Amino acid sequence: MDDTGKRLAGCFQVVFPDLREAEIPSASQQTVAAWDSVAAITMMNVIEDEFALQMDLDDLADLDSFEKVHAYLQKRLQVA
Amino acid sequence: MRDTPVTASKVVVRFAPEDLDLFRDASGDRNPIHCSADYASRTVYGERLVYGALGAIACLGHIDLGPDMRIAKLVADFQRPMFCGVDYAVHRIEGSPFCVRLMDGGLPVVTVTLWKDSSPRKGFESTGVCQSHSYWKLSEPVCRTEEEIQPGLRVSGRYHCDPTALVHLCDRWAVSATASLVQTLLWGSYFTGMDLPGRSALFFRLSLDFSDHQANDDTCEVLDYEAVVTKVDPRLSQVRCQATLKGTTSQAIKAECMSFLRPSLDSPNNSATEISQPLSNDLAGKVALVIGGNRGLGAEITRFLVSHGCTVIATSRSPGAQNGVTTFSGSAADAAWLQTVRDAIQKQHGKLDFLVCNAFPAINPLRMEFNAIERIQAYLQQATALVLNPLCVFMEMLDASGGRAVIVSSTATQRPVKEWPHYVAAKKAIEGLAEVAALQYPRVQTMIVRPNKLLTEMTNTPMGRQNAEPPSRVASKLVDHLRGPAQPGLTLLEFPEPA
Repeated sequence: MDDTGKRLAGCFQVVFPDLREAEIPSASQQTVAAWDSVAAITMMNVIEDEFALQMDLDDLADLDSFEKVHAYLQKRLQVA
Repeated sequence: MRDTPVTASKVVVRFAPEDLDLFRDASGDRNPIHCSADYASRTVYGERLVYGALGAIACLGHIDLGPDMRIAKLVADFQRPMFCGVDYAVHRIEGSPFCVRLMDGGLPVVTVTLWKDSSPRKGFESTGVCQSHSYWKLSEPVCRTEEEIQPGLRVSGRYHCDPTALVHLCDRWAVSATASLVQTLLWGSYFTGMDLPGRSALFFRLSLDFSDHQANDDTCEVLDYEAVVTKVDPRLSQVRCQATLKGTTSQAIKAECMSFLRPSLDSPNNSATEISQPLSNDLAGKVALVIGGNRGLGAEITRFLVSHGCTVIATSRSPGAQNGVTTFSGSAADAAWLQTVRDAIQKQHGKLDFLVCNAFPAINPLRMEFNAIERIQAYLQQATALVLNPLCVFMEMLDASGGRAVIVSSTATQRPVKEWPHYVAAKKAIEGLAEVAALQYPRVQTMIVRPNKLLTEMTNTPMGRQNAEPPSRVASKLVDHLRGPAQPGLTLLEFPEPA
């Protein structure tokens, strides 16, 4: 996993502390019970603090898995 | 983290209204979302919220904070709203930092994380003043607008909790933490709920840094606080503040408070008291009953009906007056009361042309798990009663006049919302009632209306407001249909999905 992925995994651990480390890369809204709209806001806060960027709220609904969030951040960080 | 032991105890925490009252007395936080059943009933939550800080105190009761344990840092996350009468399981996560969480089934609602201070006690004895009574300046929460709350806004004040109520609070929740620590949690609640942001606040996180603070265990000092808004996120109406709290000693407690604002929806388009100039007389001579006609979509429907000349009677749980509208205060879930409304309409107007079933209970997210069964069942019962009762009481009147029954459903019946099993099921149930009502009363035009998510108090949360449409648009289109010729039988009014 690249550095972005590792940092993102750290964010997931903050938001979903009951998630096992091995489960994080495959985590999604379908597989993680606690991943609801409240968790999505918390995750957005944590990711924005960690990566010092501002996420687009309109994108949030589509970012429903670790994989998608990871891809989103890789794209954002490349542009930056 | 998951790789550290989680002890899911069989202990549950359950809050009662008296617990909220005790916390209010101890903290001085009189925010109506916690204190007033009437106020809370008109919010998205539907009932009094348990103070987040009270949940944190309940968590502290499950931590053995011996006399030699000092806390360097505490973070309390208020992740989801808590309500009276619900069993919240206690989960302890051993390790460093130590963590205690209240769970609603599989969902965390409050998490308290503690970092211990392993440095030796400095032997400092505080000479802080211990009050024999409370001290707080605000007896009512400050009403601040979103425009006022900007980075750089500073507030300051003096605070001391009620010492007698504090003792009762700690006894109630078996808290062995220092009075100083508990008072800081009380301050956090008071500061957020009464001062900044104040009335519209939803507390999200409290972070306390005690590393510079020394306090005698028995001392609960008067605290002078100074706070500044450091960040505002307008997308979610989220506010961050940093504060320092000082007693008469020079050592300070550093705090960071994160909260959401619940913006007011009061506007001409949302106010139940604003009736527009007459648009037409197309509905002159018609009599309409709007169930839940004082707020949100119901208020808008009422407004448009009146503006087209209709005589409107509205029912509402809360008393309220709208120009040109007769309002009956009560709940449509009370069938006997509805019969008195029917008798009054019959006596005064002799007929009923339109029945609009708009009232529905507040929606709180629930998961389909054991802990939520009773709440889902109660919701289904209340929600279906709010439509079943009016249909059973008024369909005969509508049949006599060849009138119309409007049942406000939702696009959630076609696109279910993951967190709302109770709401989705209830809306599908009332559509079923409407379908059968159309069969049993074929002279009545029965209309099912499926609006998209509307911006009302029912959706007034940080995420709920996203992509919510103003209810006036739906109300206008609905009333336009009512102005047109009646088509007996069942009809469906849908709205395009927002782009």
